[in-house]
Amino acid sequence: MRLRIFLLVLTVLFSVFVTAKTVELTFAFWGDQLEAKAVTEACEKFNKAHPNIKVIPMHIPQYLEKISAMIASGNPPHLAYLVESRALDWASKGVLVDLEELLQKDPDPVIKNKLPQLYWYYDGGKKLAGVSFAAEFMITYYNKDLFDKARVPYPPTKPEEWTWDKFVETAKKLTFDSKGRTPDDPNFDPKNIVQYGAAIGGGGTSPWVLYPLLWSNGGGIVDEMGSEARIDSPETIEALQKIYDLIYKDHSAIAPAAADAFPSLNVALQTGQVAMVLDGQWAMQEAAQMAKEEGMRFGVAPLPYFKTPITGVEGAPIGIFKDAVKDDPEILQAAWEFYKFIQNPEQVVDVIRSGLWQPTTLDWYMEEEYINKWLNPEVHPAEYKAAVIDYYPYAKPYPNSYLKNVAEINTIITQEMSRIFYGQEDIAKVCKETAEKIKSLLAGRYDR
Amino acid sequence: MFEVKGCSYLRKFERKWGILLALPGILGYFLWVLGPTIAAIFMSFTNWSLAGSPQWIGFENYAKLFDDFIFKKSIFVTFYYAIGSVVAGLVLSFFWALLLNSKIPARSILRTIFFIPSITPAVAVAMVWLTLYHPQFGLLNHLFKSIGLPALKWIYDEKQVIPAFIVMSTWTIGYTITIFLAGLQGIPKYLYEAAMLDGATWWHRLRHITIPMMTPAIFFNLLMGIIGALQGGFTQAYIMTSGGPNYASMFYTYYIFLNGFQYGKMGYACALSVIMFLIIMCLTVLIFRTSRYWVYYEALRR
Repeated sequence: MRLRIFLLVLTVLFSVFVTAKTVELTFAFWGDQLEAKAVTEACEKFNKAHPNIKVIPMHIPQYLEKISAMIASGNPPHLAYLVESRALDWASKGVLVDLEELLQKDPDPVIKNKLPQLYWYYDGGKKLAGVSFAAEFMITYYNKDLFDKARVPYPPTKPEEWTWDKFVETAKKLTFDSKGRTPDDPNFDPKNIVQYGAAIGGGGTSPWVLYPLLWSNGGGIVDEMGSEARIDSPETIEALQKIYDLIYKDHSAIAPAAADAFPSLNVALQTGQVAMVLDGQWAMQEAAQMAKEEGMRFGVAPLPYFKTPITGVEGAPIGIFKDAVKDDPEILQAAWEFYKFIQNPEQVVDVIRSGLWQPTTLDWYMEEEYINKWLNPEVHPAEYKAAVIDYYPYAKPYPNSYLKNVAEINTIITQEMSRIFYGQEDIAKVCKETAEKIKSLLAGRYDR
Repeated sequence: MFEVKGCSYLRKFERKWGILLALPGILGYFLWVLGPTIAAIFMSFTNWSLAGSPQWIGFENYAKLFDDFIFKKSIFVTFYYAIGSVVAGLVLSFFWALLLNSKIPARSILRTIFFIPSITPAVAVAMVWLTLYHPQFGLLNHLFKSIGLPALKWIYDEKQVIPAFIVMSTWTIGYTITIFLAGLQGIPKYLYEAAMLDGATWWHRLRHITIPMMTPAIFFNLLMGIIGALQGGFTQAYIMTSGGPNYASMFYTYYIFLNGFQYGKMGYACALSVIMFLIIMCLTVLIFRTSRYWVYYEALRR
């Protein structure tokens, strides 16, 4: 009898022990249906390969609000996509696990060999908040049919060859009024334009396309250290003037107010209202869908540049939350295992092949073997490798990944730039006032 | 006050059940309204960022308001919108209510149709108006051009964006119309009959019977309209304009949202909402105080 009770107690203890061995992790992320499906499937794959870890995927709409509330309540997920403009502020408030420490113990080849632009450092560069799970460059999209019809050669794939002047020249040749005249024709009627040569993504006001263009002219919104405004520098003003002239003097790019109203710039491209669009990699998935369904023949090229070829690379990082790990080495180890897994492009190759993301590790840009894994002839146009994959050394990270108070600064820049690109106000005056307005927000960089 | 001892059993029973049945409402008020309000007032004196623990910083958030040009701009934008949309909403819904109260064909169907926009989700409404306001292919500009008027930029222009939102707000006045309709139906017929005997015209009847008798309904709609409009505009800014161009649609609620979530300045966002709370409270008191001069209450007449 005693033995029986003893055995019973033992079994109970054992089962408790065994169940305790399974570590449950929550992983929060955003994204459209395809993205959500691919990420969920990756989690399931991970769970199968790791019987003692169970990752619970949480696809969250209205992400920023909900994740903020979870963090505030001290009950965050174990791992999560970090909203770009908030990531480093969260990190600096001590909410995230420092990945640099983990990397030193376990120098994982995948995490170690990402594009150098995709690491999110803070605390003067000593700590690592996260690494981007996707990369997206700003590029030029164009409608090949419109080029063929106007007998204009396609944009080059070499970044050095795609200068702003050449871009303007090309855009002019592809702009037509209702009588088929181009802006170079003295009788050109700017009130009745039926096809524009170009559209600037975000209407010249949102950071994605605007900042790389400013950088390429030696300008920008702030200086290297993030302590002084550069939005009023002669280089920035010159670049803004040239973008402005393309829209309002040459009438060769669609005015932002009209461009905004398209469901997406791909629609403008596909319906033949615009021949070239400057936009992010994220537009590729939809463009490819239009190519498949509506027969649009689209091509890609680097971003045009003023003085030095440059583009921007965007990609949100994934972080591990301290309050969820609770200093438990076992949970931390499990979270790190999953981190290494989900950061491997191999595991989310479906999203990459769909055109929505670009991979994040260097191998996948440099080695034929890996490039073949993700280049998808149904999505990526023939010149994609030359124009975009080989473009990676030119990509610069956005202020999101280093600048303090970046969300407020971006709001002000966007609003002020709308005075130029929507309100047609004097550029130098707007820039001077903008510099004054962001002055009190310039508090340096997280990583320096 | 409450004489419990002398109470009959039934009274006690009723009181117990009354409180019990009202409890969900009372609890809801304490948990979801009063609690957060007090918490927000408290947090407005801290530098809470949602991440990390808040620190008491006294009146720093309130002092910062004076240097915040976006705050000033958003106050202006919000009042501009509130005044415009309340006046336009009241006048229009009064007009529609008069029309829907008269003997017109298909009256009940029309009443339903006027109410439908009010129960349509705000996001859907925003999406519909986004297409209507399209500068190039939108229906409104198409109409304008066809009658020879110049095409407008609508929400994409600094000066036109708030008027455009006011026009949009007059689309969802179903509740206001309903209250006016109820008020109109409560006006005794004999007043009109007596006036007709005296030879009063349509205008006289409106001016001297309908409007004075409707003042309680107007008062209520004005008050609710102002409270609603000062807290309005969020969906429009969030979905349609991101507060632009040039801060011209930086609604107060949207600016609170930006500070609280996008900028991680929840303490400052709380200070902003406390200010709006005070503004709305003052306005409400003011409207109540003035009401005795222009609102007609039959029961209070001596």
